Amino acid sequence: MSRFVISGESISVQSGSLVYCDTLENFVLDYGVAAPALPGGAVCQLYEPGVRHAYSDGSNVIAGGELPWSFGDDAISVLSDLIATRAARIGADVIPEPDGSVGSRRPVLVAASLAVNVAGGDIPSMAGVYNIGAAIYLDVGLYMMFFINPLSSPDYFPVLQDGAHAFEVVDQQTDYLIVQARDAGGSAVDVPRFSVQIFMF
Amino acid sequence: MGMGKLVCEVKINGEDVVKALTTATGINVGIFLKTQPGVGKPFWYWSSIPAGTVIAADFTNAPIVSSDVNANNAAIAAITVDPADVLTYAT
Repeated sequence: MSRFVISGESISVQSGSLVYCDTLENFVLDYGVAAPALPGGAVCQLYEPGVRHAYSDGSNVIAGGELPWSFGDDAISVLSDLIATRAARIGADVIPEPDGSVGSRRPVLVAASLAVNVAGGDIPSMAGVYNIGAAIYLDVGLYMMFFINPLSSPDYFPVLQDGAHAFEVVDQQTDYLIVQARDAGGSAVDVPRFSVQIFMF
Repeated sequence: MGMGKLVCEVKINGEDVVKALTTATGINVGIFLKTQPGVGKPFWYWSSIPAGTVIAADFTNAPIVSSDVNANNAAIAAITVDPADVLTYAT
């Protein structure tokens, strides 16, 4: 469903999941043209292409408008540009419309451990977990983590950090992940604590 | 159920090896057992074990992982054997 709505000093333009919403003043900045003034006594305008075009005083419909209405149709037709212009103006990220294509899908967190502690050639504890049930200290800087529920594919994206070292993924399978921590010289090194987050698309 | 040491066989690089896994704080170990080592496999579980690298374990009297989570947790609670009596450490 598409609609063009003015209510008081605000305006919204919607089509499907895309929504533009701002003040009438900012709409001029984003669209380049001011929305036509409402007829006398009206404070609200509702235009739905092919359905209705009405003006109200906030309680009752007091007048009808053109149907179709070219100004509303034009604004709706460039809604993506309108949203992008507004986003650029306020410095917001433009979130692509989720259509299933690469680049429009958000990564989903499928496993994490926010505190894997390492000491004395062992992993004495791990906490802050999501779908990671256990870990093994395999060797210096070499750690293995097991998922509680195996992932649907080994094509996931591990993000590891401890703030000081580089991590290399040694092996990633649907039921476990093995990582290697290295120092600036590339040598295997134990880190006192690290976190891991695993994403899939 | 909280953090502890799970001793069982795990497959690393295609090879089954006995390892001591540190389980995460707060997880339901009875559920995790169904993934590692898996239903039908023996295991040992303690809140802690002596320091060192476990390289083998005697699973003769060890509990077997069930598909029933409650049964797994009950089996853990019933473990009374001393880790030192069934675990072998690297020297």
